[in-house]
Amino acid sequence: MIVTVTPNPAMDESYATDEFKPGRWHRARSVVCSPGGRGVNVSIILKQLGYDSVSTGFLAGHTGGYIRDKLLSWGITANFVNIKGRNSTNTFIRDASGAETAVTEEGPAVSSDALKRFFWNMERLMPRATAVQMGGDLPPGVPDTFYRDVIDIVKRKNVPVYIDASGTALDLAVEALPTVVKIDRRSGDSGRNVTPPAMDHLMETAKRIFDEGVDCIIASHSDKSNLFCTTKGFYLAEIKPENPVTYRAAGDALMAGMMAAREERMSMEDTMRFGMSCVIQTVSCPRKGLPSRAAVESTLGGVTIRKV
Amino acid sequence: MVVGDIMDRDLTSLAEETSLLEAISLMALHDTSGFPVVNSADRIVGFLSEKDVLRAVIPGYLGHMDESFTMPDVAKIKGMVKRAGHDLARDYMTKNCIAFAEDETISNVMIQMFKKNIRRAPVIREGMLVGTVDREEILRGFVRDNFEDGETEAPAMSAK
Repeated sequence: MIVTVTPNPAMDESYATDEFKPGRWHRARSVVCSPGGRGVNVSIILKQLGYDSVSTGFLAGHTGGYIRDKLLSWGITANFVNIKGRNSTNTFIRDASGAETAVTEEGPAVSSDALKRFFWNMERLMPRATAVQMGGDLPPGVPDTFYRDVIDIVKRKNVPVYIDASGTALDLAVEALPTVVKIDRRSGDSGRNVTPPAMDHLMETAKRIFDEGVDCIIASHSDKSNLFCTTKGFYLAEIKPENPVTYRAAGDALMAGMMAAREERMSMEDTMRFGMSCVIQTVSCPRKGLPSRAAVESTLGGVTIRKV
Repeated sequence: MVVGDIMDRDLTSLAEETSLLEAISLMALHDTSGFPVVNSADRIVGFLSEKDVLRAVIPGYLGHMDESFTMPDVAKIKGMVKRAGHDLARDYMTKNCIAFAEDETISNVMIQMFKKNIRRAPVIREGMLVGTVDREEILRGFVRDNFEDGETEAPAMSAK
């Protein structure tokens, strides 16, 4: 069973409005509420692809209760540490032009006892883990060494580990040599008007992590393209989704797709293709995740992969 | 319908070395009446319920309350909790607790839980914990469809 780790899960509330202007009141045309956070999203998408997972992290208050209840009602197993406080509500407002505004919260403070309990849970889950995925930012009280320490536990059991993070937490995690690293560019700087980072710079960063001993590094080049650094070289995988709704969970769809592909022992190229097709379906789906596995298979041909 | 369809897929458990104080605070945080106790190989070795905890911290008190008009002395009970709080789950858990296989029928599970007066029990697959079931959940399971809000549903979950 795949284990996902979300240190800072949230309740995502997405509002669609005709227009959005600061300082004004707006009536939402529609509201979609869902559990969120990197690992939580991966668990949801894995389930949609037909894979069971255990979702872990820290839950607090009524928002935490909502996240847990929703995951359980969708047949996803939970093993969260409950703490005091309240999980974040992340609010997304999208107007008719497609522009998205986000307001996020810091998350509840995690005590050292809760951290200890989390690590005990991870040790305990290892006999049943086939892979571990983790990602997202860290709530107050969780040290930057968190991901590195989780990787240490997972690697001792020879279980592959996927990480999607950024900053110091990612730098430290790389030291423990995860299997797959996705360099997380926050939604704030992946908007449509941001110039994609120079390919040379991305390749240099990915190569540096690869040389440290990580098997596969993924760096977003733009919303629609990812650079893969693998044992077989660099690849650029691109998609052209027809009616994208939001790119928010694109990275989670890629992770979930790649993990499902690994469980099915697909080749590296098929793994990239399957993962990117999950992205096509997820960015076009008005609700959290993707419509179906069949939909993912129908857009495999929409992924172009070239060696760079 | 089998118990795997309606169980609570939550793996929260206690270690044999968990103190009763920690167990009490976890019961409050997780809003539940008991937890499976697992060993280092993640195998179930017992179940610690609120009743087990009460028996540990206020031995004899429960009997008194059943049969007389004794008013509980809250200050005295607090002192007892403090004293027994450092004892371990392994010393007070119910060993050889009942655990259901996930393909057990709901009717069978219901009969056993009511007969043996069990409120909550682990559900296992090949000896590993996969969830828990309680009497309340069984009742809720029968009417779950009436409470789905639809609005917040993720897309249909597909089979592999």
